[in-house]
Amino acid sequence: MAQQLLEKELQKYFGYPTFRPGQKEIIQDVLEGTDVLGVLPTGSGKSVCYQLPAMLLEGLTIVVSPLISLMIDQVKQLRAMRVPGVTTLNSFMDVRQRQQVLKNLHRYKLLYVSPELLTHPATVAHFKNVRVSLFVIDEAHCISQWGHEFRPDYLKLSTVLDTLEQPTTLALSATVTPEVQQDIIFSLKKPNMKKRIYPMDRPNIVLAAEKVNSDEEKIEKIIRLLNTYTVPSLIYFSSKKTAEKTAAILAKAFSDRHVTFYHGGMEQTDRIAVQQQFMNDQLDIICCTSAFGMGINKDNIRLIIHYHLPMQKESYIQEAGRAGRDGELSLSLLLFTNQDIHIPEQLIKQELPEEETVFRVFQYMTALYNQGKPVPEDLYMENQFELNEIQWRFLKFQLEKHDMIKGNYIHLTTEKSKKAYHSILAFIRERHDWKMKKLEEMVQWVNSKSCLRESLYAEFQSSFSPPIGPCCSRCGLDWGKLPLLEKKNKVISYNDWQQQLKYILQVGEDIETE
Amino acid sequence: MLFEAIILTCIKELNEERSASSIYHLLKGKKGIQTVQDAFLFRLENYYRIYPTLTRDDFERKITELERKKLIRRGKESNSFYRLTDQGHVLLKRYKMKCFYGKRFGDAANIFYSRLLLLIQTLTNRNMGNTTFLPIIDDRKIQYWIKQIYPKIKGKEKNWLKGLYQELYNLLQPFSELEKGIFVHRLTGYKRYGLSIEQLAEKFSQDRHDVILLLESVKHQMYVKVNKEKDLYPHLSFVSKNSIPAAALTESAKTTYRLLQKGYGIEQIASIRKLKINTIHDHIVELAISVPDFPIEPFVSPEEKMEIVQAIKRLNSFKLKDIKNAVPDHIDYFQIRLVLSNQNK
Ligand SMILES: [Zn+2]
Repeated sequence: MAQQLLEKELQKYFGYPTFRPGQKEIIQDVLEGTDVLGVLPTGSGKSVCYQLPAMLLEGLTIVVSPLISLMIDQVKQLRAMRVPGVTTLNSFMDVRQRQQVLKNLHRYKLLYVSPELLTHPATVAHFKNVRVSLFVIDEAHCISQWGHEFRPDYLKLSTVLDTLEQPTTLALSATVTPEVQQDIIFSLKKPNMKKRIYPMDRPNIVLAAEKVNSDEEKIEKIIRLLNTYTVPSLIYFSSKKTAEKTAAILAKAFSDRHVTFYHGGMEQTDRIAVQQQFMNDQLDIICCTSAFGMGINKDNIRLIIHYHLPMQKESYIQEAGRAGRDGELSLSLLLFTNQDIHIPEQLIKQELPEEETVFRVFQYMTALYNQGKPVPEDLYMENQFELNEIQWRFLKFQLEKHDMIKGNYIHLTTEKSKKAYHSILAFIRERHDWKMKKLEEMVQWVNSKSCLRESLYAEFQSSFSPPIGPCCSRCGLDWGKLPLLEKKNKVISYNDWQQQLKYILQVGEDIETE
Repeated sequence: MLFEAIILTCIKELNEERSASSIYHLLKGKKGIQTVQDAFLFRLENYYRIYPTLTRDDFERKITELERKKLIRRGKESNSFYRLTDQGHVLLKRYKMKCFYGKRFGDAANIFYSRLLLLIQTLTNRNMGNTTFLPIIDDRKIQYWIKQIYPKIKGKEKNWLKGLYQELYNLLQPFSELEKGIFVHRLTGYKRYGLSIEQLAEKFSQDRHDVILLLESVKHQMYVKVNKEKDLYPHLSFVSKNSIPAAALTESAKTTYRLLQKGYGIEQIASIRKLKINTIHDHIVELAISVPDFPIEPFVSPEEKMEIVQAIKRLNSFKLKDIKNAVPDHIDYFQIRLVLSNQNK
């Protein structure tokens, strides 16, 4: 397609006049039928890379995405923008709703689906009846055991690609090391995949990491910083409780600003409300967990603070990258104490099943096998063995990998089971050590005496662009004097209920003359 | 305070005859027949399903708190049964309880309210010429309702907004400043999203449970008032039209009902449907509660009914076991439950 034509279509469907770096190249490749691995930094509009082709290509575009809430948000936003033929298939939907979508596949242009549903044999069969013109793997690092969030279901995608007779494939990710890039290509069995790698360093973000002695000192620092800069701000926490508590403290300290918290434990309606308020400039400061941010299109976040230590550099780069999408100067500050390492250590433990639990699960599976019974429901296993969803998914995949379970059936001989048991335990230890190593790298980075920018990106790329402002807290930084663009939100809100009702319902002179 | 007052009321009415977790089921609106029957039995049906998002943790934390504050104490017979302390009685007497219509109108009131929120968001955006916005209500049925009715409204957005304003203004008059505040700040308009529950709690310095329950009470009262005086609220009664969900019977109970109407007996139905007799009994109790004029005479003779009613009076209790011990042996639990289900009609 001619150059200008693509821009016209972009304007038509999504209302943007121009492409961001990388988008157009990837879109052209895909439209020509080339398989692409696209690595673009956070906030560069990865989704346009497949959303636009989905509209232009005949047939269906399938997008595999690991996070259900993110999928639902995307579909909602596209529908709100009146983009036609968009839907989703996920485990939040009941069987009837899923059947409805599967029966009407030919009516859709763009389908978001979770990996566990897509790889389900009953689902795959339906896709054989339609023309799949593009297959997209979002957050493709999930396919690699050495990516920062391994999702076993992703490994089955290469089989799905076979079943679908190898449609054009686009694997997308932010923040992956060259090793993981290779692993993605290897796991998809597509050695000829074209690599489109864009640098992930962000010259407009000033990096700062500072050691403090206590949580109280963190709060003091945050308050001082927010006093200096009145800018849209995000503060990241590992714990929901601390996020809530800190939001309350900050709300008291800054009565003229709008502060709230956000985490995955909130109800859907309230989560949408908070996201939308932030995008509409009704909120200034959000205390949140990592659940916040993905799928949020806010250009002018100027300040990102990490109150807890992220588990690895990849997550940090993504979260910090939410600042300054408009290219204006922004600041990312990480605060830490020497004790902080215990929180991520704990989180790593929670991602893997304990050895004793694995033992009990094996015992139980043997008993079931001897009674000729099938594999129980996921929920049952999770409750019975006090496993969280991530732990059971991990274990189930390992059991499948060792041919102990196949679909709903248990296959098990004493010898096979013994071998599998030991190899699973070994793998758990390996995963644990690897995660600890990633955490250790993070700790080394925050403690490093040399340039933070250089050491943050070294693992991912060979060089980086010169920063547009001060570089980092190691290269020298005058805290109070960053020229961050101030933004004072004027949120109209009346204490008088009648005024507020009038205002919302657009009744009265002030509104009508507006 | 409202949340506490509701729990105290429930504990008082349950009179140590049901455990604390039955209160949790009541507020959450569990569909099981036991919960529904208890709701009527203890005259707590107005609190049925007024807090569907309540979590077990939060509920138990509150119970512990009430115990610590010495407003309730564990019952004599069992640890999971509670009763009010004198202090609890005094507090409850002084508190002016909010009005709910849980079992009767709760579901309808919530459909009405969700429609209203989405309608206001749609009207205000259309009025400003904006057709793309993220709907504040997720429920597909509500979104479908808007799609269906909107053609009738299209082009008359200004009039509708004025009409809704006038009616909401009048409707809100009798409520407290706090209730009015919570209601209007929860509304979403053009480029202005309503406050989340947490934000409302913070803004009005209230406990988040109380915000949820106050809002729920406002919804119920509004719904009832709009439907009582339809002439006064033409726009709002349009929004509330056909918001009553289909009868609350379970599918299985409906099937049993059809077979009963065809003249089959309990044993026959059980064998036809390959279900336990007990299950059919549950269905019949459910029918006795939900279907007006459902005859219980085929299952309980007038004499047996008399025995049971007198036992209840004598004991002044709804405890099944006590009643069973006080009546002749040939009367079974099923018959007692049936008579109990008729008690509060
Ligand atoms: Zn530097």
